[in-house]
Amino acid sequence: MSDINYPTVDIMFIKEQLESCPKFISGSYFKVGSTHNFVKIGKQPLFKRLVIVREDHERQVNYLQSVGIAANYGFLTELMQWLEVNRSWIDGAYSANRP
Amino acid sequence: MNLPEATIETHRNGGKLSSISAIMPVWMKKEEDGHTKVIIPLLGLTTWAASENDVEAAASEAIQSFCMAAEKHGLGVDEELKALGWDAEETSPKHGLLSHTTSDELLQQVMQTADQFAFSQLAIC
Repeated sequence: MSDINYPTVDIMFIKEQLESCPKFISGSYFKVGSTHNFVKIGKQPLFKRLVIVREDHERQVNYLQSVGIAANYGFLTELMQWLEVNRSWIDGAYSANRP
Repeated sequence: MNLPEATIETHRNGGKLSSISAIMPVWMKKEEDGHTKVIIPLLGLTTWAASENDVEAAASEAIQSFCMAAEKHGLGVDEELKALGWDAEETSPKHGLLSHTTSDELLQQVMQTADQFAFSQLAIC
């Protein structure tokens, strides 16, 4: 179960961000069950080039997973904006909506 | 002679990978946001599960994904596993058997801390 103090992120937002990132092989995206996969361009062994994003049963990606991916693939700012707009969530701030 | 801590069996139809079975150590760690990180070091994979009950599904999907990506965007499962330190015990057009064995005593002890999972005939598309 998700901790209520952490927001979750729609998988579609993460997917769109990664699909538009030039580090990935165009068209490499594929899905297995709840696991979304993206393959990076490069000559290294596959295990270093496979990026996995896993959604939960509500099509959400948990906070820590989202932040890690956003930091690695250059969309942390966009993620934070998305959280503020879509989840009323500001990193480090107190929210009037909190119980 | 050390026992392998992990084995993978591959099945091919007309050269195309059709399914794999594996015995593999998996580590799981519940994180601050309530979700569980699932780590499969022998395949270089990290994925996430919603709860402990979801770990097996997360690991299965990750293994299937690794194999599919290895076949399509890598050098094939057998070669990509060799890059991770796996040994090929047997390779034939229809069947492959690979294992991972650690001779390092410290690593052997670390391996004991994992949960051993058996994955039976995971379909590869």
